[in-house]
Amino acid sequence: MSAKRPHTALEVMRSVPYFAHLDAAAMEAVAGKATRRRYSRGEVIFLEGDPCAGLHVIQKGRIKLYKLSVEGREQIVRLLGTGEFFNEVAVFDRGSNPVSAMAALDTTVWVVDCSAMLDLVGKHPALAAAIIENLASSSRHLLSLVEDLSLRTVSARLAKLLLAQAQSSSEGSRRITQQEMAAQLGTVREMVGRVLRTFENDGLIRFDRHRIVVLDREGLEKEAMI
Amino acid sequence: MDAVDPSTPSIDDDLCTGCGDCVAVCPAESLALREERAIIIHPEDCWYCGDCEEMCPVGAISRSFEITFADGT
Repeated sequence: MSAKRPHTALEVMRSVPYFAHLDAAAMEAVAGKATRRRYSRGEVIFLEGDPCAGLHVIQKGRIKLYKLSVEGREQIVRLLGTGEFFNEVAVFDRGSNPVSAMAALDTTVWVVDCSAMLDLVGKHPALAAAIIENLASSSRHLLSLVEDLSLRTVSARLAKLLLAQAQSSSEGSRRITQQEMAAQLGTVREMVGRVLRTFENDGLIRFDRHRIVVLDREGLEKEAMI
Repeated sequence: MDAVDPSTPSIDDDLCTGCGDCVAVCPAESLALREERAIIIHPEDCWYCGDCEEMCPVGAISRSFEITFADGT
């Protein structure tokens, strides 16, 4: 039987791994400043360039952080799920939202506005440490993204994504479209389609209706340059 | 957004212009135009081949995939 899902602000804050070391006072202070918001799948949560929307903690669902080019091409910066938080950059540099955020599934978040968050961090050093730890993790992810976009070919990036998706599939990962793959890889859907067909012709993968089966794991790892 | 039917491609009604390119190209004749929008009228015949997705000029059609290892690991 699954564990009881958190539904109050305090329960949600307790479920955030980075907040695990907060003392009760800090945890309650954050929860006391949080307000709950619900978003349907596909709904925009906030836009890049708008004034700081506050720190968002995901109670349940999935969030897509993304940037759009002038032509409307999307680059997914990060996908986040239950128990993760985002938009701390805008909170702490006092700037605008650096990316846009959209609910990739029906999603519930708790939001702490910028001024309240700055006030809380000043009073609770453990909270500051948790935020820094999350920022470090985000930086590591962004450096990996820079490496992928600048040093790997589209084929290598796609091979890496397929391996990662297959790995997480065993943990109940959701399905992904070619457009979503393209948005994560910094390319266009047509290119993803072409590379997938090349992989299929090379015997690395097989299309099985709504399933892409990795046939040659080592071959795909070689393609991914990992 | 449309609900996702796992057995057929998804068609975004907001993006679909009703051009009919997908209907023309579908090898299984699963698609049709109704009220100037593409719909899947014979989902049981759909091969999930992706011709409609490739042909759509506005990216309104998408197929989602689960990605797995052959050995199930």
